Amino acid sequence: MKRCACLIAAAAAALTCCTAQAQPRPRTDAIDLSRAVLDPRFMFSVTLLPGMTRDQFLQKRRTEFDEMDVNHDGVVSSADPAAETEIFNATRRAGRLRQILSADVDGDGVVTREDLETFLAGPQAPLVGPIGQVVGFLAGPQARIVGPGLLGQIVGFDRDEVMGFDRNGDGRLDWSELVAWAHAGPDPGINFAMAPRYLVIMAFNDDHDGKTTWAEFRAGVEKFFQSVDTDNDGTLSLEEIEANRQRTGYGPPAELMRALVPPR
Amino acid sequence: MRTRSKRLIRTAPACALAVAACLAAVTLAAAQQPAALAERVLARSIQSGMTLARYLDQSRAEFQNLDLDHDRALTSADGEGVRRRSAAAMRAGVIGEIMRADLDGDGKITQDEVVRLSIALAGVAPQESEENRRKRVDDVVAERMKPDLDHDGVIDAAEIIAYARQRAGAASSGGANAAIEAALTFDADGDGKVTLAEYEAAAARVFRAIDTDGDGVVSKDEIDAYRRPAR
Repeated sequence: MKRCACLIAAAAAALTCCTAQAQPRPRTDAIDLSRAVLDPRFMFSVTLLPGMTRDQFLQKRRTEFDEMDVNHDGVVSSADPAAETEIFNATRRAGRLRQILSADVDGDGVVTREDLETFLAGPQAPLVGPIGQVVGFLAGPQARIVGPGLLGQIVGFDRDEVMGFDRNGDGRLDWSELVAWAHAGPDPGINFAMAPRYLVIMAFNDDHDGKTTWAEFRAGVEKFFQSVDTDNDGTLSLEEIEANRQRTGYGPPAELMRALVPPR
Repeated sequence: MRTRSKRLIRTAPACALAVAACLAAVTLAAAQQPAALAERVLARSIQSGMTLARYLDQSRAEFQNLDLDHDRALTSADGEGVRRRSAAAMRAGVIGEIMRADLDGDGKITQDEVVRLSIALAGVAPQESEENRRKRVDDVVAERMKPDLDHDGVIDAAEIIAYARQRAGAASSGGANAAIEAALTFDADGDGKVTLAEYEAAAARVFRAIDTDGDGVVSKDEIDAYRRPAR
């Protein structure tokens, strides 16, 4: 238990370290996640439900593994979170370009001060749909209740902040200046939704080569399943999951499972 | 994050088709009975539980949003402005989708970047054969390399901008255009301008048409009945 706490603390420290290193263009390939791991029993245990079979559990982990293997080279290594982060940041920059180019009414790929002024004088919150089409305009009070997601995203920015990127001072933002603006702004650096999952998968690295193969991960996954499936019938019961929670401290409490899975 | 964008990519063409289909239907109907159609467009923003006063507040906000030049009247100039803005947003959307592949952030896109992004976006479907996965990746790569108009394996700024113009020109734009076109038909005195009073009169007419039991509040059933296509 104490060891787990240490591991989690180490993982948290590693994450903090990654964030602190984040520059406008972070060198994410320098992050070595293979040294920081989370106790996999934690992540595995929270997904357990009564009635779950060994095959179902394995299939879930296989899907996870494939998702984490971003570059599809058959192993999960530091290259994968690096690739994931690269795509994550590129997508964020692309979103910013989409915002700023909404002001380019003549479509020449250049945003002038005049374009910005015209754009900002109009409704400040065009509602942009999933393929970039304007699906409507929202007035101030309504704009607050519609965030990114289902309907699209709100477009809005500050003219002076944007024109600050007009390096040569000609009153026009050309492509390279627009790209520079896209780079600016809070850079998330690392996708925090994904980071803990990488820390878990990195724990399965028996030969310490910094790469987790599916064979390595599968062996760990099966060992874990067996440790919970104490009667060895290939299916987890509520009692087995509860016993696992007593032993490890991880997993859904019995009353939550009862609520989630009605007794048959 | 990645899963959501994957889903988006899969659904985007379907959305575009749906939008195009709606617009086609709308255009057809417009030729038959323009006034009724315009009112239907106006009624899109009404929500159940609204009173007339609340709906008129919202209509005023809509009016102000459409009145791009702030001259307190909707004119063909506003129509042109809205069309230009929505075309710009279409192009911006196309560019945003292309630029997701600019992984190193240098403002241009190489075939290698497109391949890396496509592999990540394609993922692996459960129990999928390697051959099938490759085919899906190839399809995504081919689609994403389309802006490479001179086929030199690099998509540069000029190609991105040209491709966005091409694509946005071919596609029909969405709801904002319909809103201003509908609004411009509410020119009761025929002077080429729709004033706030004229717009509100149309909104009030719509409200009363929906509020069939006349209790001053529109219910979900009343709205559904109104939106049901007329036979």
